[in-house]
Amino acid sequence: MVLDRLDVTAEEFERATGWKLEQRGACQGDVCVPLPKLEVDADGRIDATVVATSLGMPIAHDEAHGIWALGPRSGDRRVLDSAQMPALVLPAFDGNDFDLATLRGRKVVLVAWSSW
Amino acid sequence: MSPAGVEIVTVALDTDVEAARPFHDAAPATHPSLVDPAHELVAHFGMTNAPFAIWIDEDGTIVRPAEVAFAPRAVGDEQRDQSSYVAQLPERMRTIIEGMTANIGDTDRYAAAVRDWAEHGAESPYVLSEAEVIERSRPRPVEFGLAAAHFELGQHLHRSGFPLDAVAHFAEAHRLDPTNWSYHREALSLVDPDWGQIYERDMLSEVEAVGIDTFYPALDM
Repeated sequence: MVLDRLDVTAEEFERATGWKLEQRGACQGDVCVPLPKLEVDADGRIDATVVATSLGMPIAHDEAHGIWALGPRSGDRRVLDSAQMPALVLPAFDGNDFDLATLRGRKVVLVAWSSW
Repeated sequence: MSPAGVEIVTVALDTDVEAARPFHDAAPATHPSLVDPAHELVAHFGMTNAPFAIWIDEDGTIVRPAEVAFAPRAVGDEQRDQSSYVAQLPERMRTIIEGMTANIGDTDRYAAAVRDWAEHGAESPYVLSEAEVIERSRPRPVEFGLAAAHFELGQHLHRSGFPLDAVAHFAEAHRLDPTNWSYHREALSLVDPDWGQIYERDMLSEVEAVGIDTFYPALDM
């Protein structure tokens, strides 16, 4: 998700990245990554760069537009952390959302194609 | 290609969904036909081009990570056969194109593997263990993660009405992660002809510079 500021609330960080900020660190499912002590300002905002750095998420910036994007966790790792399908909902061409979890119980070949 | 026992789900990686719609409309799908303008599949599974596919078993476990997945050419699908057109091209272009597409001749092998999985399930030799699935998925060094972030900024700016400002981010995504062709192909598809040549090289020169065999990596099956 694209951010227009880097001082964010915990809720905004979770919405942008899927990582929930808890006492024990940044957590997603069963996985928790310890964080340094976060400074919280009077509006409940923290510095997203501190959390992103702890999680190994690189940050891209567009200065002219004043926007940032947090990349996926990177470093000495691979695209897949596990073989479990992540939660994934994509729209169909008719505009209705399709939850891929509804395909459980069947074998699925998920094919990405493109007009290009 | 839709053997009994396997659900095919197709997903169009197109920032501009309307670019994909004519293809969708031309072949009315009986399977779920989805769109992914944000390229979530690229981020989640490491698809680096299209068509790429993963296999998911009944429990929601990925049993083959992202790999090239061309469907066999249907009977009467002659317009997809561009070999006579390619044969007329100058030698340099022909060599690049033939190299880029060398691995798509594997379509029958891929389809046979899908059929084997449909029939034998977890006993199929094409089903990989969780450790193999993870190991065969793409590495994600910091540059690749940063490339994904730049691609997202480019997408955002393009959609927000600043397509020219998106170009630098698309170019940076491609520079940082050159073998993820989904970035560069998407970027080129969004170019307005009025801009002239806005990226440094044409597509074939770019493929030649990055590595012809990175375009459609050979199937490891």
